Amino acid sequence: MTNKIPKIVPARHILADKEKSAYRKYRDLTVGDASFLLLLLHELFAFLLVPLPGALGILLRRVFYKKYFKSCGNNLIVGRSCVFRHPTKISIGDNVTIDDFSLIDARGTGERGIVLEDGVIVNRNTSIQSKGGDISIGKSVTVGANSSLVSWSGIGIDEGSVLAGGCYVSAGKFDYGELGTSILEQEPLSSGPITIGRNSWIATRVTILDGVRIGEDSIIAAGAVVTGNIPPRMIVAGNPAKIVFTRR
Amino acid sequence: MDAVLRKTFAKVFEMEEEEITEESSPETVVLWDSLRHLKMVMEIESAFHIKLTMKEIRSMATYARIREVVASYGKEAAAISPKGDGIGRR
Repeated sequence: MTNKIPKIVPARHILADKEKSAYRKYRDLTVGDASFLLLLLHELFAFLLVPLPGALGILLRRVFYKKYFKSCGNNLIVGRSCVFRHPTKISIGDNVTIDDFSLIDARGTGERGIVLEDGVIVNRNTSIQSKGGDISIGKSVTVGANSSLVSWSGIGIDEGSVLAGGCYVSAGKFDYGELGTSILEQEPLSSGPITIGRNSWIATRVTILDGVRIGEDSIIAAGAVVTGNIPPRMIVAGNPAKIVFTRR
Repeated sequence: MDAVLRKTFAKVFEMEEEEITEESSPETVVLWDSLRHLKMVMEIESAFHIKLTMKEIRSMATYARIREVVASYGKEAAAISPKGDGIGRR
């Protein structure tokens, strides 16, 4: 089933809005409806705290980020040059690590926002972005380097799962019904959120497409492109991914 | 049993039966990777009508060991006549 997704406002539309001042556009894209004070804080952090290397940077970010997010647990480690957009919609548990150059953008999320539960590790240069829908990453999940999670209608990764490097989890697609009309002008669609069951292993460079539900204890082999739902305990491989074995 | 196993093994790893030795392993067989290993397990299971345990599957790192595992199923595995190809039979 494919549904039209309400309320996705592409960044492109915000940037092209002639009614809005440059200040409003910048605010909407970085901190959302939050106060001028938060924007000021965001700017100060961006200038002084975000690029700070070494242990001092980690320590200062741990102290100052405590109140920056919707909620933040203990022992947070944030590497340098990590960007957080709409931090008031990001919740972070205890012992969470986010490595250098990562991006977490909660612009499109609903009430729950982006939730990184206890023990989550996000490796370097990974983006976790919501254009629509909430993103929830369960306990002790590892997201490998250079991965990209883009939500249009939600992404949920259950506890204990591992995403290796270079994975692409991309909810959402475009309607292409009207030939001659730019794809970007047509409705964004989604078959629903992407969910990954607990204790799953998503190997290197796996692509998971819109609306896919992956059952618990599954293994997706390197380079696979997952286009349909995967029952629990399956080992799948290839493009499009096919079941090769049932774990026992 | 041995003839069916050799045939199955050769088919899965796309090699000649003559190339198979007792020491054939992931190091010596070009196509033997983790996924092809599972494919081999599936083919052996359907050829011999047996169901291997995960422990056995993980231990099957040489051709000799594979034969040992299959042979351990005794009558059940040997029930298939080596005259037929045995592969894919239900």
